[in-house]
Amino acid sequence: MSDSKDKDSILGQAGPLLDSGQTIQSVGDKVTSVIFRKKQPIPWFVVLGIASMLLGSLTLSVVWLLMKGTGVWGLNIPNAWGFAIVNFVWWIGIGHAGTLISAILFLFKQQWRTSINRFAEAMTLFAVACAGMFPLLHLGRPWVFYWLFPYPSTMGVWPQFRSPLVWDVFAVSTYLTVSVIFWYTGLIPDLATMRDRAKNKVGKIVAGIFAMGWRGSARHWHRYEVAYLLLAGLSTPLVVSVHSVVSLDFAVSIMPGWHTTIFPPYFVAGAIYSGFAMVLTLMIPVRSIYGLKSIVTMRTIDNMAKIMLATGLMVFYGYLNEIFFAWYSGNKYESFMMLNRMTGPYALQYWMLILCNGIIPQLLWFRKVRQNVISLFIISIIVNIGMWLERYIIVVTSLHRDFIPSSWDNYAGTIWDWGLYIGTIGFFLFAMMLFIRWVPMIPIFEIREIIHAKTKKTLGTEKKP
Amino acid sequence: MNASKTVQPGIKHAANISLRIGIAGLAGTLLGAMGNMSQFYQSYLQAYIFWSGISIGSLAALMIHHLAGGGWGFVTQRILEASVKTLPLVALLFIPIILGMDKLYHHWLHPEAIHVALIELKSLYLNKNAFIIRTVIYFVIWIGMGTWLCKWSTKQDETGDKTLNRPMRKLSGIGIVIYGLTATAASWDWTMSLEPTWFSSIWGPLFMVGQGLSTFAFSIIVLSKLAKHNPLAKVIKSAHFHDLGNLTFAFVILWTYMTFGQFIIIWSGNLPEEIIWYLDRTPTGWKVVAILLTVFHFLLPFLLLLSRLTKLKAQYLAKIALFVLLIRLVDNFWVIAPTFQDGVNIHLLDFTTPLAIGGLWMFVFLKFLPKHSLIPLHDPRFKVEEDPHD
Amino acid sequence: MSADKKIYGLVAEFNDSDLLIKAAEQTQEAGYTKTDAYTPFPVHGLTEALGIKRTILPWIVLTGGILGCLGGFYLQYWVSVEAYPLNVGGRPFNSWPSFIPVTFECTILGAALSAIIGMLSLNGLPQPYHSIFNTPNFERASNDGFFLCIEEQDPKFDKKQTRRLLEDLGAVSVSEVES
Repeated sequence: MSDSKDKDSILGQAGPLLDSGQTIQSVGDKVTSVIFRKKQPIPWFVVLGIASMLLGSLTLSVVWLLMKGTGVWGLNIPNAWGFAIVNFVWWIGIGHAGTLISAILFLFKQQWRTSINRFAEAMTLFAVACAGMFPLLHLGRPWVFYWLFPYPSTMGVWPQFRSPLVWDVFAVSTYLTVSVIFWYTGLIPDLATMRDRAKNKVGKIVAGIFAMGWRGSARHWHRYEVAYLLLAGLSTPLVVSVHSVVSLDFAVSIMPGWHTTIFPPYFVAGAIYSGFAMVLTLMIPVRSIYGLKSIVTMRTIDNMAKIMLATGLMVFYGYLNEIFFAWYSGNKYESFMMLNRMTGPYALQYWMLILCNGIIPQLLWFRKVRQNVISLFIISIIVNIGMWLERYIIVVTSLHRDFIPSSWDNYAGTIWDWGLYIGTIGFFLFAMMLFIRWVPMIPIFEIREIIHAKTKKTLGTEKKP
Repeated sequence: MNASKTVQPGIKHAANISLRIGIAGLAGTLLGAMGNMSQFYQSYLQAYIFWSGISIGSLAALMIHHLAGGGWGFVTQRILEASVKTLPLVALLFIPIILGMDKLYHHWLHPEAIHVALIELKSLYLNKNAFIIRTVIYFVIWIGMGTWLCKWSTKQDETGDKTLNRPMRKLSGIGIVIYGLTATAASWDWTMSLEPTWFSSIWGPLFMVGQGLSTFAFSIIVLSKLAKHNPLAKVIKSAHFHDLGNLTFAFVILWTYMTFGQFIIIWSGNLPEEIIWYLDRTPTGWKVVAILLTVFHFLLPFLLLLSRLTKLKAQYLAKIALFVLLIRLVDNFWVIAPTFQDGVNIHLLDFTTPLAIGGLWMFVFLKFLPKHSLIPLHDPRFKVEEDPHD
Repeated sequence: MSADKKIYGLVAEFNDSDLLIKAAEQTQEAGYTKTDAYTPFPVHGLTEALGIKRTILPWIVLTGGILGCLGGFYLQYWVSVEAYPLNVGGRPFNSWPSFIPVTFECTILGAALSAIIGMLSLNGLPQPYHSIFNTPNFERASNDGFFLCIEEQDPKFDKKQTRRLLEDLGAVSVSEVES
């Protein structure tokens, strides 16, 4: 035991990939037990209750908005983009971790991803759904949202493809579609497992319908594996493109603070950063409540923390870069914007952002912090807040001081802005709880593959490639 | 050392050839430079950015390997280390650039009248002394980190001390951050400041991606030669080439992504101080180069590396890698040369300087390469199945 | 046993994937062609052992991607140049740099849709009924059982000989499955 611990410390790993003692059978039992258990644990009901209340806030805010129009929000001119785009970017960024975990880490053959990918992918779907609400509601007349798409309308009008907002429509809808496809593809074999394990008839039929008659045929597995690999390969550039397009919403304009060439990768890094923070925020409690610590091991948690540190550093690099170029550009609007960001009416939010996103996460350099789930949980929440503030700062500080001082105005969200924002958090949590309850949150067959490979290795029957 | 006997003569031979190429290149360069010093400095800078990119990029790749530890790093570690050891040479080769600063960086050393005020503003950063001091600092840091990493790695070979992975990993963690910052600043100094009124915040990352791409392409070429002999022949698998091929593929895409991102943002904004950079780089002749880059720096390698087959076969992959390396030079040409010339003027020096620097660089690289076992012997992450000593 | 009962094939159950692979290899050697294996997760080496050809799926996906790419770009070109030309900040009607993001998204969408649709249709899914489900214990195929089936359609299929072959290969049980 101490020997393996020593080895881990030399290699910089935190414990084994999976706890020993897991078998092909026990994984199935463990994961499906969450669904087939008679009663969900109390925290599940508590979160569901809170989420339901927040859903009420969402409904109320949306109804009020539809009755009164976007004037109920804190928007004004020049701050025509307030909470709506801040929350949109925040949510869509959170969604990115799911795709990253399931696609990029899959391509890099990082086995530790397996225990969290299904969960993170579900998170992606719900986060993108939350994100989608904001631009749609911001349209003012959300019921004619289909005007966004190119279709032969009787008015003879077409979208304006030189606008990044139209790119967004394509990027986000493609992202949602491909995420659903990827998620569902991964689920098919597990749905078959559920079908064959379900004890009641309804469960059997429902799982059976979604499993589409999957029978585990070797020919099917072969095509399935190729399809999954291809989907991973397609999702990887897709996820990068989505947040890049989001960043272009800002960057192709000429607003000081927005028009800067580092925006695409800087936004992508920020998205991954916040996404991993959200996965940790959710996974840390879930794994302890549902007794999944032996599958979602400390190694997985530690690796996620390391990725958070790495992406956090990239984001911090972006902040430093912005500061340098605000000065180096020699553009007085740029340097004014940066100075105003640091010392103007939103200075508090700016320095909070630096603290939350740049300073506090440096604690993750320490192994002790990464190994302590409570400190990690707290840091992950701080990063979530920090990433929200980052978008707030980007949106508001550039807008509220326009080129001409006569059009300056400050911005603050109203109660309806907050109600809607908190409401989407409710929607997200609600959907996550339903997901945990009804869908195997850990990919059973992939974990089985790992266990299988491991037992074969210890038996010494592994074949040379 | 029986095992390395099989590969040593080959390396020695290659080193001799490199030295000869270097000397021939140097002769050609001297010939071409006579009476045309500004052309010399321009071509020299292009070649220098290219070759220094491999050394500096190798340092970064080595650190990433110590942090992430894939099989690709195990087989390329000694190549990367030998390449890192050329850093002192790379530092020495910077001297001509300092000597030629008046010609290379005259836009900020001797600004035109309309830009005087703007350059004045930037002079806190853009001044001769600060430029030299910064470059010295970069090299001290890079050489320092590289020396430590190579030293520990050698020591592990000799003593078999597995715990040495710990300091290597720790230094790499901090080191990769320091690399990010220093390489960014170097990119501003060495290439972005050629046109001091222009700026692009993606410049640092783009510069680093270029270095990474050159490094992986270079490693693939060297590895494909070494893989035929022991000790690498014993451990190398086609999966290693597949991984390296994928990394090259990823960096080709990253380069395209950042290059296009920079272009679309500047093109859409169309601000006079930014768009000028593209206006200089897209009149008739340069447009052809730009299109060539799109096709050969992106489309062709992208399509070729998309297939598994090309990545699994070492000889195919090495050919693609060589092609990518050459096109890196063209990219440097497109970035640097339009500062100095309106049309596309390909000078003899554009060919001789990369050969001169490259021959010398390769000679030193190949002298360092066989000094140690070509695979790390006691890295606990990788099992060396048979002792390569016997 | 009544003779009119149609048989789908003989199904052997194995407890271990290595036995399954060996069995698959030997049935292939014995000249059987209409065979299939059923496992709870993809078993490496099984595809080769059964002699399954590499799927054409990558080509379908490539085609889907290319169609998406061309279609996406042409849509934007047609809209911005032919159908509804608008002057936006003096940019050309054919602002190709602006069309690249959407072209890219359409490429991915086309490729991803062809991947899932291609995979499902090549596999013949959804398929609510399949004879193999009549196999006793078949629910283990999605849990911890490994099955090998030699179909009745196989030209070499012979009830007795095939059964003996499967039993010799270390099957836990061999059962006749109705069609």
